Amino acid sequence: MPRNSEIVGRGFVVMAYVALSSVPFVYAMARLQSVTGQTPLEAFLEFPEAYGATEALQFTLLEASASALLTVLFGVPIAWYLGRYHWRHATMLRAVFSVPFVMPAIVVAMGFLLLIDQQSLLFKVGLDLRTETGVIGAYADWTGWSHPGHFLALIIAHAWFNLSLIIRFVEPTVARLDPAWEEQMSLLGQGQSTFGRLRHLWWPVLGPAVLCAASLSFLFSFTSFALVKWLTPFNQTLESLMASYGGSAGIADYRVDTSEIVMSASIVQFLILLGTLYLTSTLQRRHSNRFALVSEHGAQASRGPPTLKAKVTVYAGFLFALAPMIAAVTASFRIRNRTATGTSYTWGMEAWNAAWAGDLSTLSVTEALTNSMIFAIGTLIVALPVGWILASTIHALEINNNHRLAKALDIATLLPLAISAIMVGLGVLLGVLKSMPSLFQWSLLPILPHVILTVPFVVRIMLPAMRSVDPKWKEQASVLGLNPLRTWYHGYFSFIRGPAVVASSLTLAFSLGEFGASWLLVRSGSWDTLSVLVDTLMSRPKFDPLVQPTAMAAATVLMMLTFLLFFLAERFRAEGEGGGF
Amino acid sequence: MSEPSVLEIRDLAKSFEGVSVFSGLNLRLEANEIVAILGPSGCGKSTLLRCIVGLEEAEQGGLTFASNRRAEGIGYLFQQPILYPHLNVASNIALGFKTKVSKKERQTTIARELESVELTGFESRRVESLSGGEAQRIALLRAMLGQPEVLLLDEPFSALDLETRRSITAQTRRWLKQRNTAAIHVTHDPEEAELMADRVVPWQALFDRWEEE
Repeated sequence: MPRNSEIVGRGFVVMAYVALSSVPFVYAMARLQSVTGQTPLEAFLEFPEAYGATEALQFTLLEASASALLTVLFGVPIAWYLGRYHWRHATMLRAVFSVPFVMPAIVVAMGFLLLIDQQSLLFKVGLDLRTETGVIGAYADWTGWSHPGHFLALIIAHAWFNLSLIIRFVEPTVARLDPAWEEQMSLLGQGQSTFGRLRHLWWPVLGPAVLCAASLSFLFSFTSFALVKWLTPFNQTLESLMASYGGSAGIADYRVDTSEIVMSASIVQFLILLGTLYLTSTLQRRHSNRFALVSEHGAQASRGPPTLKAKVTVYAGFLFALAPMIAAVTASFRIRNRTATGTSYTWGMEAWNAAWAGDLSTLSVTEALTNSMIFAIGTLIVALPVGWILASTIHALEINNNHRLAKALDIATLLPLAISAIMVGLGVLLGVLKSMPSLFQWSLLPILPHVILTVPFVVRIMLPAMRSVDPKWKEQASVLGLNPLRTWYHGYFSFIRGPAVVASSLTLAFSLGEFGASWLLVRSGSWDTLSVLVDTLMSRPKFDPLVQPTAMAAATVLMMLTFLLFFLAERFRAEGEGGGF
Repeated sequence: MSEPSVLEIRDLAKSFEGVSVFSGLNLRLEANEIVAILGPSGCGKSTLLRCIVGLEEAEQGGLTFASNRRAEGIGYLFQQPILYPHLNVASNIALGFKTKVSKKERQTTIARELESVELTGFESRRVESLSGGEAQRIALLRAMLGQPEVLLLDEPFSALDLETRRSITAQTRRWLKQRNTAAIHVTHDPEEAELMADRVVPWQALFDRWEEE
């Protein structure tokens, strides 16, 4: 039984977290309400009248739905073949397929910009997605669709980004489902055809996982900011609309129209994301482990080596996953040389030297990296214990059969995902800073939104791990006469040490790469993070040939750091562990 | 002229990664005959059944079926009953239909079949709620629904308690005889083999020379 002090402590952390994650948003709403004089319901009803809001909503829904569909089309075949066969470098393949999800969005945006520029392979084969000439231009003229190339680039980038969600949800089930189930189905009347097996076996087994990953892809594409900002500059999503008007919103008697737009857009976005999260959570419950699982190795060994079709699919996916990252690294060494006779390129370290040195208006990579690390470590110090306590509280409530409260708290921890980075940033900016401007001087301010955004991931990783620890281990340790600390260590912590390392690595990676909230709160200054530095450099006019390579050098540093953290996390991940994160 | 064999296995060989499981294996199964193959665990009995049904490829030798329709003409009962937890009992049984049937006919057939194994009213039960014996009888019903010419039983009753095992073995034999279905039942239990089969063949006897009749 937990002691009273433990219950009080947990209750305090839960209340503090709920306040931390909701107060900035609620406070921002109150402030916007005071500026606009509208209630949230009035703001919601006024949404169609808000300038650019309907177009932004249409574009957001279209790009998020298309991105989710494309993610499923790309991801399911890869997950299927990766799970069905034994691959020689399976850990490495899985890590490469998973890295996109934790890759900073700004790095991805830069990578995709390079993949579609006029020196790219796509351009050379006639697919000009950036300036939209050739086939794409003809298609635009024919349909009257103003920027189909940009749209295509955006949804491909989103599919790349969310590929790991499908793979993490689907592949473990494919890999570990008892082959006897498939054999049995193939011997039954209704399982004689491929369609029959798909309908009676594979869809019931994998369908909820595919739909769950698709709804999460929709959610992350809906709130995507950096990719939208860079790949579709002529279109606004609700997220980018709020970001662009957020700076002038919430100020009394000044630009009331922007406050109205931000208020209605944030309410509509919140409601849509809340609905998506509810759907995700329902689907996740259906994707249970009722199915007979066996060891991955045993199941895969029974199917023999990968077929040619499997190899082509998985290795094509592998190249797709690496392409933007390779493009970013390569571009950091490639310097443009424009002369009267034409443009040529040379290879060199000049951009890296420039990135390391910085200049009068931008920080050096080392300074930005130091800032990013300070924010990331600060985030970890707060987010890990808070997430741990929240997960253990939910688990304790479940053990004590208090399922309703456990579920309510579980959903409360997911709420920041429904609020999105820009809304969290806006919450802090409008809700807290405009009421307490002195907080602007507080250099560690970005830690606040980073904690709000990373705690849900810590909870999602730790909670299943805590649920899976058999209480008999703790009982066994306690009857051996060990002291309470050693009992806890051997009977409990040793089983969740791996997930704790995974949660720590991902918290650091997410904080390092976070762009939306940092961009809103830090903007340009001595506390720029690496992701903000990349954006600042890329926003400069490109007549200086070093601008783009320098930005790519900074992006490469950020990418490598994320990559290292992720490989560390992968080493501690248990076999068959899915769940998306 | 005597009735033709439903299955003839001649000089069959199988190995895994160069290690021979068996070679030179012969067996003839007559129409309506129940043969029990008796052998110790790990001797290759299950592999033989998997070769017969086509889940494993035999390397040498031949399998001759009277009907020429291997996958469709054979039913298979696994050691552990495989009932899909996303479906209830009735839907699990319905997977055994080989042709499209109307909803009414499906319901009537399933109810009749359940009654025949003393599981009346089990249609909407969840498979997790079934006992081992009940689950295995449902799996048997499902395998028989397609009216196979041959039923292969891969030690399906080995995990059941003695009393249940005896009763379900006797019931299965009655069933097979009523429906004129031939069967190969592999087991390591001599009592179960005797109770079930018309003919008990020790594993070693499968490697005797083939004799033309």
